[in-house]
Amino acid sequence: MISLLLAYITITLFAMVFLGIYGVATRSNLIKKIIMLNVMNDAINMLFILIGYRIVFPVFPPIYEKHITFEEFLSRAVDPVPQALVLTAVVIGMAMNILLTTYAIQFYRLHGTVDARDMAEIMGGEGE
Amino acid sequence: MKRDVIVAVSFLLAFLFIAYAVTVKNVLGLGGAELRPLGEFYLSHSFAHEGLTSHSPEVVTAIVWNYRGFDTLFETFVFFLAIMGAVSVLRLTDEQERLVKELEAREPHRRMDIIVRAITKLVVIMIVAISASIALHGHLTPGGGFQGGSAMAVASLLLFAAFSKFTLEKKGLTVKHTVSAYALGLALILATVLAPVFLYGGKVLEINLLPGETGLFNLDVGEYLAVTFGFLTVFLVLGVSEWIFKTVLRGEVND
Amino acid sequence: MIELHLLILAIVVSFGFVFSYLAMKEHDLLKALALSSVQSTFFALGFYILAAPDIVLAYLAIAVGVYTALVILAISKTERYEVGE
Repeated sequence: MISLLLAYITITLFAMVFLGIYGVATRSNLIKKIIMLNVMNDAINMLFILIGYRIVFPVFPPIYEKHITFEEFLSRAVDPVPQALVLTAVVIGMAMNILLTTYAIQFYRLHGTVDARDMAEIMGGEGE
Repeated sequence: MKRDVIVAVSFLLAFLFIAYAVTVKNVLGLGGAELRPLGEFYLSHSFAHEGLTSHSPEVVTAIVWNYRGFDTLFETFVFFLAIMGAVSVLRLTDEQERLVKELEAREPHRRMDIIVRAITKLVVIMIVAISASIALHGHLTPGGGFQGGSAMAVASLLLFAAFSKFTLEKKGLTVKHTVSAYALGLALILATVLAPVFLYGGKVLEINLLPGETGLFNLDVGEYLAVTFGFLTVFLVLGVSEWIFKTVLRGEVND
Repeated sequence: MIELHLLILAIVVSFGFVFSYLAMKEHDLLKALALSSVQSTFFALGFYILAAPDIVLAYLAIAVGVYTALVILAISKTERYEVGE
C-alpha cells in the first residue's frame, strides 16, 4: 500500500514536469509560457523534498526541541539537506520570473505583439 | 504532422522509462526509513555543545547560513543582479522622468471608499508585525530572512492596491529610497560576513567566532531588509501607467 | 497510520495536476493565472504534509502573493486573450 501510493505520487509529479515542458513548447503566448514554466518549477521542488521524506510514524520536522530526547529526534526527523537546497531554488525562480515578465512587457511596448510566432519576422531572421 | 507524432512518441517513451526507473528499480531511494549520512551529520552537530556546532536548534537555517553559507551569499547577489537588470531595462532619463511626474499629476485622481482605506491601514500594520516576528526568530523556529521579506512584500502590495502609486510617491517612497534601503541590507550582510576576518582573526564567514547568536541574527535582519525592498523596487518601477509610458516613448522615437 | 499522510498527499498532488492541466487549456489568461495560483495553494499544503515548515512560509508568500501580482501587472500591460489553437 505504501509503495503503491509513493509510486502514484512520483508518477503524477513527473507527468506534471512533462506537462510543463509541453506547455512551454506548444503555446505561443509569452505569458502562457511563463505560467507553464512555473508549473514545472513547482513540481521539481516538491520532488526534491519527497526524496528526503522518511516513512516512520510520527514524523518530525528538522527542528530540535528540548522535551525530545536526542536519540528519538535522530530516529524520527526528516532529512534537512533537500529543504535548504529548495529554499535557494525558490528565490532564484522568483528572480527569473521578475526578469522574464520585464522582458515580455518591454517587447510588447516596442513592437506591439506578444506572440512568439511573429517574433522571427520582427527580429529580421530568416523564416522557414 | 509527422514531427508532432515523433515528439509525442519520444515524450511518452521518456516518461515510461523514468517512471519504470523510479518506481520499480528505486533509483532515487524513495520511501526509506533511514537517514542519509550527510543529513545525520547536520542533525546531530547543529545544536551540540562542542565540535562543529552552530548553536541553533533550527537545522535548516544553520545549513543555509552557516554550513553552506557561500551558496546563500551568492544567491543573494544573483537576486540583486536580477532586480538591477529589471530596473535598468525599464529606465528613463531625467527629463523623461520629469515628464512622467507631470503627466501623472494631471490625471484625475479618485479615492477609494473609507472602509477600504481604514481596513488596509489596520491590516498592513498587522502584516508588518508578523513578518518582523518571522524574520527575527529565524534561528529558533521556522522562518528567516526570505520568509519574512516575502510576507512584508505582500503588505506593500496591499498599499499599492488601496492607495495608488502616486500617493505613495507624494508621501516620499521613491525608487531612490528603496534602492538605498536595499543597499543597506546588503551592507549589513557583507559586514557580518567579513567581521570574523578583521575583528577576530578567523576566516571569512566563520560566524561561530562572533559572540552568542549575533551572526545568524544579523544575517537574518540583513536578508529581511534586502528582500523586502527588492520586491518594492520592482513594483515601483513596473507601476507606471501604460499610456503615460507610451507618450514618453513616442517622444523618444520621434526624435 | 503513515498511509493516511501519503493518501492526503496523493489527493493533493492529483488536484494540483488537474488544475495545471486546466490552466494550460484555458485561453483567457487571467483565468489561467487564477487556476495556477490554486495549484500553488494545493502544493503548499503538500509541503506541509512533507514536514518542511520553512518552505511553506517562503513558497506561500512568493507564489500566491508576489508572483500572482507580477503576472497580473504583465497581463494588464499586454493582451488578455491568447490567440491560437
